[in-house]
Amino acid sequence: MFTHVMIGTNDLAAGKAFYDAVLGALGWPEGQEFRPGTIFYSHNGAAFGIGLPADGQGATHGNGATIGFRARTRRQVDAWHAAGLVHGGSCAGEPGKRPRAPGRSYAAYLRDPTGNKICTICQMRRDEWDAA
Amino acid sequence: MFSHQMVGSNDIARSKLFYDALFAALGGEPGVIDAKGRLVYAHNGGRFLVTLPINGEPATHANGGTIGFAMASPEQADAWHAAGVASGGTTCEDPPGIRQATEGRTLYLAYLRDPDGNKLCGLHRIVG
Repeated sequence: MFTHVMIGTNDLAAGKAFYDAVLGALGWPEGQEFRPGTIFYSHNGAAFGIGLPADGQGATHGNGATIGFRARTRRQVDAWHAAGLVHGGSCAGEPGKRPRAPGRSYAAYLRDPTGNKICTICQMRRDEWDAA
Repeated sequence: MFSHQMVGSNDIARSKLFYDALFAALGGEPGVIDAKGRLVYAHNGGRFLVTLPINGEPATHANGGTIGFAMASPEQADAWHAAGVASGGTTCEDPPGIRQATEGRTLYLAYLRDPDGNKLCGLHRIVG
């Protein structure tokens, strides 16, 4: 359904450091300059970009908005969250089971340095779910 | 890969009229309201949700933010854009059309803002 997702940043270097770390934890390659002021990441047919807003105004996050990334394992979700905390992000939800989300979801939430809310989610095996 | 995308709304009924029209243009189903009152669309393996903010503050769009949706053809991108404009959205950026992108790629792009200002892009890859 989605071709790409783009978010604004007020500090491209800080944004790149943050997303290199968190997306790297999910196996995404390092971001590349797409055009001046914009860094893009691509992985498994998905593309994610950060950029200085084209209107010259400050970047803001959307209230009510969340960008969800997929992880393969709980370990990746944990690593994603930990990487975000040490690269300028803040916790918006500790890693853990999310019984109200679809399936056997294990997820964690962060705010990026601009305040954008991001989530990473994986599906647990039944034995993992039962044991956790 | 993305698991899902969620945007904020200040009026779920208004959002449903808008996004139902967009997904209909893509051959998708109308949205379903879940137990938390969120509007949920499942289409081609992706999930898109629209929600009232859980902090009780008004929904706002992100400046610098865009969500890109896959279009099967230029004609579908045009229909998606027209459906959005007719259902409470507004056009933005250049009118729908061909763009020469980096690395020799040729794209057909259409841009909309939803009734709450969230920026959406309909993208069809012509070359690359």
